[in-house]
Amino acid sequence: MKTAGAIALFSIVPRKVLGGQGYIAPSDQLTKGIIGVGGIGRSSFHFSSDDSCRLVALCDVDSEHLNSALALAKQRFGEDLQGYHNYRDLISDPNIDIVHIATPPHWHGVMAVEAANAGKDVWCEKPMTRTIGEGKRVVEAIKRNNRIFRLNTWFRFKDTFYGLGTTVEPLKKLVDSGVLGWPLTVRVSGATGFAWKFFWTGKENLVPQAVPSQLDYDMWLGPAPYKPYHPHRTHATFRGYWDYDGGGLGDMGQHYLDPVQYFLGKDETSPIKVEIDAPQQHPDAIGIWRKITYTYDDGCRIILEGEGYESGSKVPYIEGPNGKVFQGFEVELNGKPAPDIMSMIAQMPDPEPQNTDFIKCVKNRERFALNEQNGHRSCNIVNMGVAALRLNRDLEFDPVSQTFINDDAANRLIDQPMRGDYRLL
Amino acid sequence: MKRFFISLGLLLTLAGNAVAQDARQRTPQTIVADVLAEMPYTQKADFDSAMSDLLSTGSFGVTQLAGMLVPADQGQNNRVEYALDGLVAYSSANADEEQLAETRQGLKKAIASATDNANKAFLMKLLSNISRPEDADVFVSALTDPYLSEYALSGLILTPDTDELSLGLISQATLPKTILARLAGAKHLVAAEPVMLGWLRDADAETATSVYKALALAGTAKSLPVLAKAAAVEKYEWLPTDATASYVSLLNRLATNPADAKAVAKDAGALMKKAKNINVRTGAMTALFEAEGAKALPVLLKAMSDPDRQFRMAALRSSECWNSDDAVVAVAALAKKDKTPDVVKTDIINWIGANKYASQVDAALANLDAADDELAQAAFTAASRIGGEEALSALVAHFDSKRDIKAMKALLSFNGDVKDAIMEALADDKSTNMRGCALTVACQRRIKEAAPVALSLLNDEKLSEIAYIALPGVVAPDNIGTLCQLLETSPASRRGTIQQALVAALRQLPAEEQYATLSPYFEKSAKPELYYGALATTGAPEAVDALLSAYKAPSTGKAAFEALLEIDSPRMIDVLYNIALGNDKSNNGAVLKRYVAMVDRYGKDNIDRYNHYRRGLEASGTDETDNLFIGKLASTGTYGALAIADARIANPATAAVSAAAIRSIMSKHVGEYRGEQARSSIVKATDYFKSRTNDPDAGYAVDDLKGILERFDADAATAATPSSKLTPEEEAMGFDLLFDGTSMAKWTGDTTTYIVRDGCITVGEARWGNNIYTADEYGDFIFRFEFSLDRPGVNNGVGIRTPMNVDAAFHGMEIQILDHDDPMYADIQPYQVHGSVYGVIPAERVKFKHGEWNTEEIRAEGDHITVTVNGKVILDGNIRDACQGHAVGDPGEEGNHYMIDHRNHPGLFNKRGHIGFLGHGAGIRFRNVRVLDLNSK
Repeated sequence: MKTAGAIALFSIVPRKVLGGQGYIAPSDQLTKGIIGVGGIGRSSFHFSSDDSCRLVALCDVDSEHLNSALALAKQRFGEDLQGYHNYRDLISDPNIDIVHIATPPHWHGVMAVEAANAGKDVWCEKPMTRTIGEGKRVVEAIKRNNRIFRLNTWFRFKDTFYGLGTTVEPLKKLVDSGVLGWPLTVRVSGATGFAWKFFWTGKENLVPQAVPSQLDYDMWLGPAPYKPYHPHRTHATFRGYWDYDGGGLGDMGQHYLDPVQYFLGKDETSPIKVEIDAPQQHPDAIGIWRKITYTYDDGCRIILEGEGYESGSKVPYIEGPNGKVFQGFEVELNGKPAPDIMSMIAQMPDPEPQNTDFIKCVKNRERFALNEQNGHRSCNIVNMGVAALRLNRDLEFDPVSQTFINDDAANRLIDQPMRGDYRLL
Repeated sequence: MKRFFISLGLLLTLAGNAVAQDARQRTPQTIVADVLAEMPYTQKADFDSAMSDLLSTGSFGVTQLAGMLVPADQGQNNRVEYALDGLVAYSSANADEEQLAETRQGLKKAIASATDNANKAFLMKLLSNISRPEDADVFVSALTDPYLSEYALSGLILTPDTDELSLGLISQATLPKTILARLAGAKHLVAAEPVMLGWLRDADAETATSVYKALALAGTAKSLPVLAKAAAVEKYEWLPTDATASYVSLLNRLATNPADAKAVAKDAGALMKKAKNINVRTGAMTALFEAEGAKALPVLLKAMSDPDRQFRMAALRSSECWNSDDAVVAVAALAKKDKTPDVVKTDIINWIGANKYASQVDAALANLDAADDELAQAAFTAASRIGGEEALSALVAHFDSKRDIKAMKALLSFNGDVKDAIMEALADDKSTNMRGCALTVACQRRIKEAAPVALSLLNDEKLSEIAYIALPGVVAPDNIGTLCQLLETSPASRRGTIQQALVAALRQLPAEEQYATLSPYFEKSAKPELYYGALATTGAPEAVDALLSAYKAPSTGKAAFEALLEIDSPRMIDVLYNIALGNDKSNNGAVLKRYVAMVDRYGKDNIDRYNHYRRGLEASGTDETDNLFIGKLASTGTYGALAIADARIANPATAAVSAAAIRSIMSKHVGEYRGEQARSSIVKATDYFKSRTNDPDAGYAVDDLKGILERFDADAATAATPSSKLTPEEEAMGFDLLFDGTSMAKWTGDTTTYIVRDGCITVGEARWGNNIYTADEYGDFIFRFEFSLDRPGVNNGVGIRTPMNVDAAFHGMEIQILDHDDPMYADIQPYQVHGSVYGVIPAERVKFKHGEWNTEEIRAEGDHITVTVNGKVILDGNIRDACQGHAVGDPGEEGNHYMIDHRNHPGLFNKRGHIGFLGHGAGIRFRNVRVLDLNSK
C-alpha cells in the first residue's frame, strides 16, 4: 500500500508501453487516410499524425484542397503523403487501416459501407448519414465486416457540454439516480446554452455557373442528384441544401443530441413522434426553424428551440416531475435549489465505463463509445426532424422498424435512391 | 388573412377578374395568384389553408404554377418551387385519392410540356414523392434521357406496385443493363434473378459489378455459386467488381432464412478457409453462425485459438445471435484454463463484461490476479460491469493486493450498492491497506457512515494522511462541532483539509440554516480568520458583512478578500462591483473575473447581463479584463454589445476579441441589426481577420463574415419598401409622420431594443422599462399607428403625456397594448385589456389575429380620451369623470378609492408629455406611426 499516494494515483496515467522505450514497432502503429480535406478534415484535431496512428494518405475531389493539404502535411509532419482524387483508391490502399470520412454528409453512408467492405475501420464525421436508410445500411455493413466504427462527436464521454458547464457524466448519474423523476423534458436552446447556427441556410434562385477547373463536380456530387453547379452548393456552404446535409439541424444536431440520447438511456431506440414549428421549407435550399419537439414512447421529450423562439432566459435544460437542471448545472429539487448537488451526485455510482480510446478499440476490437449503433440512433433524431421540416408536418415513427407510421411520403425519404451505381449492400 | 395580387407581369391577366375572399368563390386563377403572392408561408395554419385552396383547383393549379418556371438564368423560380413542393407535401398527407390524382395529373402534364431540363427534373422529383403505378410511364420514358435518367430511375424505384412493370423492362433488356440491375436490386426483385444471371455470361466489368450488387440485394441461393466464383477470381479482394462484398452480403442476408441455411453454411465455411482478408473471413463466419446457430459452437471455440484478435473478437460477437448459455459457458471455461493464452482470455473477459454475462462472472474473478496487466484490467472492468455480491467481495478483497487501485476504480462504477462492503472493510482493523482503500472509496462515494472511522484515524500512525484526505468526503452536519474544535487545535498544515471538510458538512444543511449553525463557533473563536471560507460558503448577508469589514482591516484583509471571492450569491454582483470601484485596484483582475461569474450565473436575461458587463467594462482598466467583458458582452447578442465591439476593434489589445464579438453577434442577428453601423462593423471584423495572415483559422472567419455580409446585403435589398406614409387627408390636416419606415430620428430612448426592420419598428429582447419616446412632447393630439401582434401574449403600451423613464401608467397615462386573449391573461381586470387607459378607464375587448396588421387611433383632447381600433371605437371616456377628479387618494389614504384600480395616478392630469412605446417583450411590430398636434393648430 502506497498510503499517501493512493488518492493521487487515482488520476490514471495513460498506458504507453507499445514496443518498449521510445520505439514503435511498425505493426503496432496504425495508419489512417482522410477523405475530404476542405474543412473539418484539415482542422488540427483531425489532421494529425503521431506514434499511435500515422496519417498516410489524403483524398479530395478539389485539386486545390488536395494540394494545399498535402503541402500542409509535408510542412507539419515532414512527410510526403499519398494523395488521391478518387476515394475508392484511398479505401483500397493496403497501407491504410482507418478511413477517416470528412466529406459532406451525402457521402458518409456510401463511403462507410465501402470502407467496411474493404476491411477498413472507420472514423466518420457528424452527422452520421443523410438518411435513416443509409444509417441502417452502415450498421449492417459494420456488423457483417466486423469493423470498428467511430462517429465523431464526443460529449457523451468528454469535455464540458456547452450550457451544462460540466461534462455529461454527473448529469448521467443524476438522471440515472431517478431523483429528477420521469419522464424528463430536455430543452436544447440558446436559453440553455446551446446555440443553433442558423447561418447554415441555402440560397434560392441560384444561377448556374461554370465549374472551376480544379473541382470534379460530378464526383463531388457522387450519389446526390445532379443539379447545375453554383459555388454556394459546395465547399463550406453545402450545409444549406437538403441534397447534402440538413442545415443548422444537420450541423449541430447530432453534436447536441447524442449526449441527450445517452443520458436519457435511449441508445437503442428512437423517438415516436416529431413535431415542428417552422416556416415552409424550400425544396432545395434549407431555411430556419423555430421549434422541433421529439417525444419518446415513455413520455421523455427533447425540445429544440431555434430562431427567435428561445424561451426566456431562465428555463431548465432538463425538467422532470421532481427536479430541474438549469444552465451551468444549477439544480432544483422539489422546487428548492440544491446547491450541494455535486456532493449528492458523488454518492451515486459512476456510469458504466466507456471505451473512449479509438486507437485502443481498433487494436483490441472493442466497440467504441459512440459507434455505428448508438450513432445511427442519434442521427435518426436529426433525420426525423429533417423529414418533418421537408414535409411541413408532424410525423410519427416506429423505433423498431425505423419507419414513419402511416406516411408514405415521409417513408420515401428514408431510402432515397442514389445517383449512379452507389449501392449500400 | 390579407390577400395580395401577384405582381409578376405574367400573372396580371390571371388576377384581374376576381376579388372574392373565399376559396369557393375565387376563380382558380385568383387562388394560384394569391398563394404565389404569399410564398413561403411562415405559419403552418396559413400554409395548410392555402394549400387546401390550391388543391381545390385540381390539376389546373399545378400546371399553371409549373408553366411559370423559367430557366434559372432567366428569372426567379423560388416562389413557384415553394408552391409546388408545398402542394405536393400537403397532398401527400391531406388529399383524398381523387385530389391526389389531380395533383399527379398536373405534374405529369407539366413534365410533358416543360422544356428546361433542370425544371423538368424538379417536377419529376416532385412526382416521385407521391407517384402511383399509373405514373410509372413518365419515368420509364425518361430512363434513357441523358439529363433525366437518374431522376427517372429514382422515380420508378420509389413508385409502389411497379414490380411487374420493372420485371418486364428487365426481361426485354432494351435499356442499359446497369440501370436495370440497379432497378432490380433496389426493388429486391427476386424474379429478376434468372435474367440477371444470364447477363453475366457475357457481361463487361461495369455490368457485372452492377449485377453482383443487385444479386446481393435481390438474389437467392441460386446466385451463390456465381458470386463465389466471381469472388474467387478476384482473390476475395474488394475491387475491382465488388463481387466479394456482394457475395458476403448475400450470404449474410440469406443466413437468416432457414431454407437457405444449409447452402449458406457450406459456402460460408469454405469462404472462411479460402479468403485471406480478415473482414471477408469474419463476414463469412458471421453468416455461418447465423445460419447454423449454436451448432457452430466448435467453430467458435476453434476461432478462439486463432492468432488474429480481429478473428477472435468477431467470432465472439457473431455468436451473440445465438443467445446460447451453453456457448457462453463453453467460452468462459476457456478463460479459466491455464493453457489459454492471456490475450485470448482478455478477449473473452472483455466480451463477458461488455455483455454483462452474470453467470460467468467467476471467469472474470478468476483472472483478477493474472500476471498480465491487460488481462487483469479486463477482469476488474468486467467484474465492475456485471456487479453482484461475489464480484463485490472479490473486488474489496483486492484492496489488500498490488491491484488495489484497479479494485478501487472498479468499485467506483460498480453495478450495485457498495456501501455495506466498504463499511465492512473499514471495520477490519487488522489490515492497513484494507482500511486505507475503503476510506478512499468512502470519500469518493461520500459515505457519511465512514466519518467516525475517519475521525478516529486522524492520528493513526499509518492512516493519518488518508484519513485527513478522506475527511471532506465523509463528514456530515453533525460533525460540524468536532470539525470546528479540530480547526482550532490542529497544526497549520492540516487546516486546509479541515476547512474543506467543514465547508462540505455545512453545504449539506439547508442554505438558511448554514450561517446560524456556524456563527457560534466563529463568534467565540480567537482565530476568526479560520472560518472565512466556511462563512463564504453560507453566502448569508451577515457573512458578507463580516467578511467585508474584515476585508477593510489590514491584518485580516487578504484572507477575507479570498473568502469574498468564494461567495456564491446574487448579492455579490454589487459587492464586487463596489470593491472594483474602490481605491485599491490591485486585485481588480480577480474581483472582476468573479463579478463576471456571478453575472453569468445570476443575470436575469441578456439585457440585465449586458448592463452589468457594460459597467464592468467601464470599471475594468486592464486589457485582460477588457477582453473578458467584450467577450461576455458578445454573448448577450445585443446591439449595444455590437456597438461596443465596434468601438474597441481599433485598439490592437482588444481587436481580436472585438472582431470575434462582431462575428458572433452578427451571425445570429444579421437579419435584425440592419443599419449602416452594423454593416461597417462586419467590414471592420473582416478586415481584422484578413490581417491575421498567420492564423490558419482566420480564413474560416473571413469566409463566415463574407457570408454574413452577403446575407446582410441581400436582406437590405429585399427589405420591404416602407409602407409608412401619410394619406392625402392627413397631409392636408398637418399630421407629422413620426416613423417613415426607415428612420428613428423623431424618437429617443431605447433605440437598441426598438429597431427598424423591413420598414417596421420591431421590438428586440425588451423587458419592462425598455421604452422609446417621441422627441417632442404633446398635449392634445391624434396619434395613429398600425401594429401587429406576432407572438402569443405580447404586452406593450402607448405612453401619453408622460415624462421619460417613469412608469407611464401612473406618472402619465398608458393606453394598453395587449394580446389579452392569451390564456395567461385570463384573470386580468377589465381596465387592463387592450385599449384601456390603464387602471383608469376600461376599453371594449377586441379580437386580434397574430401576425395581422391592426390600425389604432388614440385621440386625447383635454380630459377626453378616445381609442379606435380597426375602425371601431373601443374607448370613449373622460379621465376626470372616471375618478371624480381624484388622481390621488384622500389625504392619509393608502391607495385611491376613487380610481377603478384603487391606485394613485399622480400623472393622470399631466397637460403634456412624450408619447412612447412601453416595452414588455419581443413579438410586436409598429408602422405608419403619425401624430397630429392639436395644440399647434
